[in-house]
Amino acid sequence: MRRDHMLYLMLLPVIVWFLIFSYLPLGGLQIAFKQFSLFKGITGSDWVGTKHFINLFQSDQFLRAVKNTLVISFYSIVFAFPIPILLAVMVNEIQSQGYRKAVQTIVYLPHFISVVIVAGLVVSFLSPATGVVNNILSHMGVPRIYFLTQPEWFRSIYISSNIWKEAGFNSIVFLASIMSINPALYESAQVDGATRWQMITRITLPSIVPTIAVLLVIRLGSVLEVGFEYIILLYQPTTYDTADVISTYIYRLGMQGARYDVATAAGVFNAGVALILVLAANRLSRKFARTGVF
Amino acid sequence: MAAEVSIRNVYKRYEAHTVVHGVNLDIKPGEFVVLVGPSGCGKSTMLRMIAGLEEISDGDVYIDGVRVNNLAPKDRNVAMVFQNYALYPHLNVADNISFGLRLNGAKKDVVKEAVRTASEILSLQDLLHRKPADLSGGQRQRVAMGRAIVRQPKVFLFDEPLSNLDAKLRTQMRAEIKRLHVRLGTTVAYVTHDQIEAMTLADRIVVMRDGRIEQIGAPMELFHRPANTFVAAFIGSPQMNLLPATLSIRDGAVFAVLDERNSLRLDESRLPPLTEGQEVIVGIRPEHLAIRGSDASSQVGTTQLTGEIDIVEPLGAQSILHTRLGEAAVTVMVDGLVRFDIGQPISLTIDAGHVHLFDAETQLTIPLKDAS
Ligand SMILES: Nc1ncnc2c1ncn2[C@@H]1O[C@H](COP(=O)(O)OP(=O)(O)OP(=O)(O)O)[C@@H](O)[C@H]1O
Ligand SMILES: [Mg+2]
Repeated sequence: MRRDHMLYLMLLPVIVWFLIFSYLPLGGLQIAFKQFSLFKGITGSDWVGTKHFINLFQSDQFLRAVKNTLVISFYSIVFAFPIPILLAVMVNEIQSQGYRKAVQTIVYLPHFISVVIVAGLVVSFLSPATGVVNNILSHMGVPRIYFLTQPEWFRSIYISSNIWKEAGFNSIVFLASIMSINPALYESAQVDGATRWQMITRITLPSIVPTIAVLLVIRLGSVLEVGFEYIILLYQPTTYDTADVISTYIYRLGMQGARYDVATAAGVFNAGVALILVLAANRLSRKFARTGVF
Repeated sequence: MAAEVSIRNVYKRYEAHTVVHGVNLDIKPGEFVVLVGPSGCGKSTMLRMIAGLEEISDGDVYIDGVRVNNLAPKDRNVAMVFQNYALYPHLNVADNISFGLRLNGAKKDVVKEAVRTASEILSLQDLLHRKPADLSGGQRQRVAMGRAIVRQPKVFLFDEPLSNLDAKLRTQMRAEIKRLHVRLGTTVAYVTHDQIEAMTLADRIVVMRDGRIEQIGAPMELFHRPANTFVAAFIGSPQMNLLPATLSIRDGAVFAVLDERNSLRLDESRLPPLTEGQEVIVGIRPEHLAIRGSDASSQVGTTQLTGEIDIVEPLGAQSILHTRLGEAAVTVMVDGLVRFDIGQPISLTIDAGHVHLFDAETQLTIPLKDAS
């Protein structure tokens, strides 16, 4: 402690930041259990117990949001999680240095584009009248599709555009893990007569299983988190059936409907479940991959 | 089963610079050849060219009479043991050993039998279900050898297989490798920079420097008749003393003059014709120098040199004295029981029968006739 006092001093600003912006506002959570009135203030409002929570669970809209959140997360894990792994393996197989660098830069790039712009791109690509996709479809004789107003398209659009945006960037950690594999393993396999495919399936993939396990577990711990801004930008009332998730529901309720107390109750519920999931995920990770985040 | 390996005028170039310069080497079937040399001299590169892990820029490599330059590593029928063992961390010992067999679709019972045999030879039976992370260094080394054995290759290639082990284990594994070679009789090319490993293991040693072969020969041949100062200094430990000297011929007696105080009478009967004033390098192994006892009379054929002790390194049975003879540093191996002090003046006795002579300009040995 004495020896490290300079380090603690440097830590101080971060602690202060967390206190002011993360811990102090926690006090406001009490309105989840109150009939909040702007005139009476947070502490002055009357206690109502778990009334808001009971109402939420009796609301079809809230239950729909919970279901949508879980479904979108589930499909994201199934479809979006493996792609960075494949991408990393493929990039690793590229022999030419120049080509490899070019590929990496190109696949990382979309990560740095703002979601607002990505949403704009998606909207204009999928536009029924002028979008590229519909133009191609109509050339092939398929009738134009109103992608963004039909609920059955929302998940596919959300997940596939997210893959385009993030898969490259997410592949970095897998690529780093692949790079750390001892090259002698491949040489030894080469002398033993392994084909490139056998090297991938028998050396590369098994070697990065611990990394995959840790990331998968972390991902499972955050199934309640979906890209809030991106959904806000892409959804519209006609697609709420599949697109409305917990965070967007809270936003509409609290910010647009001024029902601060109910929205806070939904938020508290969300945070509570998320906390349990993260803790569970960490235990799983410790158990199966022998590494945890904490 | 053992194959002959012929290396014909082989070059390795990386873009502009050449790291192997026209090497020629014939390894007989069943022979244990050790490549030694300082770091970066191209030993690993040679081995990797034989294995097929590195392209051969020029020249040819034949295994059993077949030119293998363009054959894939797996078709060369060689097995390689790597310095860091290259074990698959996610596989247990049995699966590591049988990796190569399973790759090529060997039947289950064949694999099982091969693993059994190999693990018996290397006494790994009790470790078959362990992961490499749970093995000691020596055990990992044995697994790596097991993986090479099961493929029943015609040639074993070892790249510094013992350099990650501590001294005691290294001695032990050295003996095990030797035993393995005797048992299997496979041709071996073995790379090390440890000259003791080379001396103890090799049928023949290949000394390399800067991508060239300096000398090829049986261990004792290199020890007794080094072709040049490099080999002389490289083989033998502690290394040979190499002292610059000028020849002086007086009344038919040839002296190597080291400095104004010290000169060394050479055995004229062993010398080829030499010229007065010729610059030479005198080579004397530390074990061929003796501290002169106070009452020893100077015999014929011995010379005394005088100097003082710099450092004493006791090894137990023997001690290494680092002494100073005028400008030159001279290492002497002495009986460990005798006490010496730093700064103590000493007088060294040399048996002229053990002196080596090199040309100062070419660094090549001046051949002497064997002392009769
Ligand atoms: N890919 C490469 N590109 C350029 N030069 C290389 C390459 N690989 C090796 N070299 C050079 O080739 C020379 C021989 O290397 P090599 O690995 O064969 O040495 P070595 O004798 O095995 O040394 P050590 O005892 O350190 O293992 C070195 O000078 C090295 O710098
Ligand atoms: Mg090497």
